[in-house]
Amino acid sequence: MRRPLVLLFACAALAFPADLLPGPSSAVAYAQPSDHLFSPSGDESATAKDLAMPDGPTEELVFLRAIPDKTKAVIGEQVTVSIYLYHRVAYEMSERNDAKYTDFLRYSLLTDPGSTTPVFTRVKDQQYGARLVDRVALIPLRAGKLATGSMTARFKGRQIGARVLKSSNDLTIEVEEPPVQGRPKNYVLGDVGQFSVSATVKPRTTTQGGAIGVVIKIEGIGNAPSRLTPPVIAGAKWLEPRTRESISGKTGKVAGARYFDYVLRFGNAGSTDLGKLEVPYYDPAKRAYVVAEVELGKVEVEEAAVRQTEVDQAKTKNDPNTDPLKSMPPARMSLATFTQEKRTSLPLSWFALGLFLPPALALFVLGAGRARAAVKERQGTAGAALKHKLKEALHDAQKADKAADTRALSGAIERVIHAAIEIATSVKSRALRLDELAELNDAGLSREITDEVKAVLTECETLRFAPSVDDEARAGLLARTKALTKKLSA
Amino acid sequence: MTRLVALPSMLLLLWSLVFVADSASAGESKDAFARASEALAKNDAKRALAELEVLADRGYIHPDVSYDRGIAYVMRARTNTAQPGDLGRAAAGFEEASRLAPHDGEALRALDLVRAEVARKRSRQDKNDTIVRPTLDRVVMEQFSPTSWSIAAIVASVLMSIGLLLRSRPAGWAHVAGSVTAPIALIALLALAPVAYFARQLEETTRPGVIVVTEAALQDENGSNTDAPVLPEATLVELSERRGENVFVRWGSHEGWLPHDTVRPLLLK
Repeated sequence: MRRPLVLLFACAALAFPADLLPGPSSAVAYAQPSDHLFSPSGDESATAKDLAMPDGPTEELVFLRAIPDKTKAVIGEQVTVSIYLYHRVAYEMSERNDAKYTDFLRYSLLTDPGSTTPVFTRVKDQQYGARLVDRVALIPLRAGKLATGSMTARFKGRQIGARVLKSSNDLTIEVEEPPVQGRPKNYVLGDVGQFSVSATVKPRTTTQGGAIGVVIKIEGIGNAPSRLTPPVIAGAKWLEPRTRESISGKTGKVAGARYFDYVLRFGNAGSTDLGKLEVPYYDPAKRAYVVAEVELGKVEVEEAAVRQTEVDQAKTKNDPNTDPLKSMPPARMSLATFTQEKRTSLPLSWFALGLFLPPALALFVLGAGRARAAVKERQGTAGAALKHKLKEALHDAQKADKAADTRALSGAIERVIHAAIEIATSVKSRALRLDELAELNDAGLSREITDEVKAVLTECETLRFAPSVDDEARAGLLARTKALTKKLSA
Repeated sequence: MTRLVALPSMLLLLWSLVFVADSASAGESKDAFARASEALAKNDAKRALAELEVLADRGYIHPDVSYDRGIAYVMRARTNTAQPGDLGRAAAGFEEASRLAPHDGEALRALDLVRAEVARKRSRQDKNDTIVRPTLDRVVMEQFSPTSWSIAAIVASVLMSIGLLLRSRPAGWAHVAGSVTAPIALIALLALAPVAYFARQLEETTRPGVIVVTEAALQDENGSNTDAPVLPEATLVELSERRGENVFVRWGSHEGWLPHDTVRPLLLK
């Protein structure tokens, strides 16, 4: 997370009149190029006069101003841009975002923005404090009118308001290629500055097939070359170099050294002249091309004895072990008998059937068993109830007989007969009329029993409505009923 | 009466035509193989390949044909007419031969030699290949055929059913046996049924293939490369759905799309 840069300038606020209202957020377009604003020692040389703005925006209490040291440059030439914060009230700055500098290589020249001190200057007729908040060295990467973009920050203060966004002016730098006329061979666009080149070659003797190290150092001010064209040497090969650099903008100018660590491999024996390494660049101060040169000197390459490993390699060149394909089995000249193994695939329906049918069958069998048991149990319960009913009816019949209650006796005997029939045949005979009792034959009763049932029930009907019945007739009916019950139970 | 005689006669004629066409085709294939063998004997890989590829296009399946196709590609790979992917095509031939005849030691040895050569070539180019192993599900399913897995699942189902029936007995050894068998068989069924189902699915929807380009990178649906390492030549992969010019490839746990001409499916059925 970016820590907001918060600065308080209470003293400055006291020094300025506070009668102006905070202005709207806006980009300020005041960017006169000023060569004498910049010096290696930071912003010390930027005087109040340099920073004064006779036509400045006095309606703004704080604003950002980007000032380039030049507005025209060649590709690779340094352009220094300083961004000043003008203020005449107390403020706090936060959410600072640097400009994008899309078409430039950027080096920061201001390592500690908090350490700069404000300069009091005038904007139109108002006194402002101007403080350097950023300074960058920009190296243009292409030709054209290149925009730097704007730096933005938010400000708050009693008179400014809360989180007021301010942007610096967007600079446009006109960039062109260095002149084509007089351009040396191997010049790479962007190599601009003043450089010196030196080389270290170690060791100076080697054997055939061996290698040496060549370190090229390019030192100076500007955009140092990022690739070199080493001299072509017969029988030797330059390998891809490793690059190191110590380049910074601490002195206000992009300066330092870039090192190229080459490995040079020799195939031929003898004294080999490495030749001269040329580094062309464009010097913007002289407005001319310069070629820095360094002599690489000579290297003695001794003839190498044939190594045993090479002898071995030559010997084993035709060894089948070194080429796996040499020991490949021979081709087949005839077709052997082949019967393709028929993979019997179980159809999905069979698989599903085999998977689900056995448990389904087992569950069905178990379910059926349980259902049968339940029916049996239910039947058992019903039979017991009927027997109880029969017993009760018989008991009632005997009681009615003793009490000489013919009507009660008839009713009890009817109940006994119907219960006995239901126990024997599961037919509820109470629902049948007397002339329908023949149906009991179909339920498994013999004709004789059916006739007896009919006779007993008819007699019961007769007795029920008879004005008087003797004891003998009652006893006879009860006896016949008991006998019939026995027959039915059998 | 005439109709009764005419129907069998027509059927016989039809059968004869089919039989004759089949025999002629088999004879033609054998002749093509003979010509290919002759070309191989003369180190004429180009002519041998022309004959053997025609046989493959016809769908003629024979381990010796696949094996000789591998040999022909190896032969071409060693000449100056070699084409990129020749070793992969050779590996496809040997892989096919070894799958059609699992006890063919020569085909297996040739396959190993081709893969060794591919590895040697790649190591000379400083390319380190990742070893990708098949995932556990593929290892388990490939232990047995889908039919075997299906039968095992059905047996588990039957045992569970018998166990349930025995367990319903009131007491005694049958009840004890049922109480032990039913849960064990249920566990086995729960494990075997999905394995059997997915093994069947796998057999029906996928087929093996071999990479026949120097290297191939798996791509996602949008055509950008996946995180999977590059597939070196001669790598055995699993092919499934084909969509347009691309085919879905599974390599170990890595999945993605490849142009269909970078993979050669094995002709096994």
